[in-house]
Amino acid sequence: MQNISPIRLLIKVLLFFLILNILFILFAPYVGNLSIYNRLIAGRLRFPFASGRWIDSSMDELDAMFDSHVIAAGTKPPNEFRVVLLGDSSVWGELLTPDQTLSEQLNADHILCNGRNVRSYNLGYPHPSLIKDFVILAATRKYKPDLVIWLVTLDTFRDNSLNPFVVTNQSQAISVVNQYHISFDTSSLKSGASVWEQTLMSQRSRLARLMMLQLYGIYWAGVVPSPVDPNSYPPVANNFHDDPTFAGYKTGSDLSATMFFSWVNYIYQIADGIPLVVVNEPIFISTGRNSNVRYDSFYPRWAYDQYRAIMNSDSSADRWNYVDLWNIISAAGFSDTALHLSPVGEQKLAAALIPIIQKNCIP
Amino acid sequence: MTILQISILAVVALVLGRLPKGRQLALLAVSIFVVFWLQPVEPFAKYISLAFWLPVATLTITGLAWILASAPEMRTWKQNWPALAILIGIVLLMDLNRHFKLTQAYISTTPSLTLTLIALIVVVAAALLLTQWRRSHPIMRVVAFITIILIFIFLKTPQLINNALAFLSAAYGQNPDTADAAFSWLGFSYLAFRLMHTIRDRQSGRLPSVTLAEYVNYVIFFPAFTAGPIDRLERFVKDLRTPLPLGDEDLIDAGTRLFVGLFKKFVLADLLAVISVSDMLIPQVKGAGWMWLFLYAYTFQIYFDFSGYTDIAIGLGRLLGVRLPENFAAPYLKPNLTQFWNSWHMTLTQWFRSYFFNPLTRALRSRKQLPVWIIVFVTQISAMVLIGLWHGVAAGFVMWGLWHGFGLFVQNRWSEFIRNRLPAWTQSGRGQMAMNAIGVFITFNYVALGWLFFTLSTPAIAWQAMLKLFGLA
Repeated sequence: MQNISPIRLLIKVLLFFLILNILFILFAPYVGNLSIYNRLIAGRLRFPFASGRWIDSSMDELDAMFDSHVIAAGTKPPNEFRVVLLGDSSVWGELLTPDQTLSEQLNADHILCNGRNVRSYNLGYPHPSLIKDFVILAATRKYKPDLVIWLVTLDTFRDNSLNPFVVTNQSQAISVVNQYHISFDTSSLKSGASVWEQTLMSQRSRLARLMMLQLYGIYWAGVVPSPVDPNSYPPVANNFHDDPTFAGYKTGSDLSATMFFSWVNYIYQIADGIPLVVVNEPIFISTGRNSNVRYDSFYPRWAYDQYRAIMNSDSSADRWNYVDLWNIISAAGFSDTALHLSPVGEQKLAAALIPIIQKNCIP
Repeated sequence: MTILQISILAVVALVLGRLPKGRQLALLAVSIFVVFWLQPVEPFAKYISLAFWLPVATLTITGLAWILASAPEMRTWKQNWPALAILIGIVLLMDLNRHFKLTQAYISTTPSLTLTLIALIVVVAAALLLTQWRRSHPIMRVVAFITIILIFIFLKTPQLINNALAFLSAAYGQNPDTADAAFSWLGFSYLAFRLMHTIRDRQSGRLPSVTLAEYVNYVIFFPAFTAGPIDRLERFVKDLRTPLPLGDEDLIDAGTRLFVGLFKKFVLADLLAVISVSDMLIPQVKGAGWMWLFLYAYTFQIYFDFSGYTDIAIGLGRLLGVRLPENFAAPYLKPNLTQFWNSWHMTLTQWFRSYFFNPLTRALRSRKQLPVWIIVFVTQISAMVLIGLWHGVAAGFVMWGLWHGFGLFVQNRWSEFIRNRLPAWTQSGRGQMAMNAIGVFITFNYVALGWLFFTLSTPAIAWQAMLKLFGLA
């Protein structure tokens, strides 16, 4: 065997590694689009999210999220009326199997819109953030939705600028903020990655997550997830302490002064003519101890009532297509928190949304 | 071990392997430190630092075993004081860690120095007594052998561990239900094999004479401490005394081995783990095809995981000038179960062959009235069940052992039956290739099916998975 000098070998290895990193920088923008979803296996019914209840990838990179989603499967059929649902964990379907979520409950009803089949897509992603919803909607436009249903709650309008999704998708967030002149401080965000950040060395954890996402696709393609046993989690709390504060706000504070209700206007701008319905999603209404102070563990009565009044008034003033469904679900329709619905609750919400979809069914 | 730990150990091994002098003692110091470093923090760290006492127990048992396994002429003060000083010195240094608070590297809650000193005095006194009391050594070797087996049974029996944890919880006023049941005595599985091998071979007079430093280095040699391979003392000591030269090509070989091991373990095995068969998966799998895919994923995951660790150990060993034995030789490409077991975890199989299978076979053969098939049946089944139990005292491991024992027995009898009945075409080149391919296919799938008993928590779940694989559930 030929005698090899380790020093020369080390130099060659370093050189090869350098070339590999340079090549990677060139191809890095396309790496997020490498996906077996919608090619070898079916796309997902909802975005990948490791919720603790489901084993899954914790991928929150926008391109990879969409590439793994069923909405990215081929071109939109001409006879499809495409409805996309935006929102947080309640839309994504915490504690629900993918086929129990709101979008699939709507699809199960096989409704028609001017002869076209209504097909709903779950584009909810946990943890509230207005910027997150804006970025997802902006990315959704290329999939040609016919109707957007945006499910919101009081918590949606708090300052959630440090949402992990926004941090991961900084350049997309900046792009949306700049394009629609959103008054959001982007100084802590970066529009692009440095050369070092684009190298294979820096991107290795992203690559690992992308590979994991593909493998979890195989996993999910091969299983029919068992419904979550309702006895395996504590039910939504019905009794509370008498604390009337909400996220640091004291009773009677003017929420509109610091919360972001007016940002609903931005989402209409981003929708750019696509019909969009803002839905105040149902909350659990307690009847237990201190229920005169709080509706549930999230919201004291004064804050939530004020929020509803603001939304009703602003929607009239700004001509938002707004529907308030806050109290349509009884206690039995909730699972572990005041915003997460059980399969029965989702069914009821779907039934309430069908007339709204049909009303907004524009040929 | 994490990638960072392996990387640090690789650098350390590279330096140690090039030391012109004092290599053995430096290796001893590093190995002792690694025993402490890698021991997981246990649930009772706040009250009793098992992460300190378990490594101390490892070192104590090893030291006492050396007295029983070594020749008297090797137990002189002059030869062994540096090793003893390093052993005691590092234990004391570790104990002082609560003052350094190096929590990232090592536990901070160590016992008081007084308690540690008392324990050390007791251990040294016991060692001195054992050294002086030579006439008791034959019986003490038997006692040591049995003690190791009893500790082993305790550590591998979840029910006993849970009871012990519940007892400790109650003793320290914790709720037994909320106490974290994670508990492991790092490296004991392999430590036990090495100790039993040396004590047994000393009894039969086959063991070379070694110093304390050589013996402890063999037992806790850091590259092989946690996951093998199980070397033999006589072979290991040769390399330790005359380290293999570390030329350019050796360095490249070692580096390649390390890289391949890291890739197998941290890329292939960890990725395959996502789609490997598991308890949670079984009731949710869509159909037989998916079930086979998930089973094959596990089959390769366990191979890449284990053989990856072996590659890392061999690579690290090579940097230190020690050629550790191979543990895997393309096991999934073997045409029958016997050959599979000659190439899967080879050092474990060799250990059982030397200390259980061969002695038992000889003992049964000496009873001339027993037919051959009964001898084969008893030896194969018992050896494989014991190998199963080595992984844990649980019904699944027993079933896994029975599965392989039965498979080996059937293969043995079938080979005997078919030997002179094979058609002529099987002797041709193509015929042999075809027979080989069929053999590989059957063996691979038989082994893969056996993993169900190994990895799933109960035989009932494994049976359910088996039914799903064949479309019967």
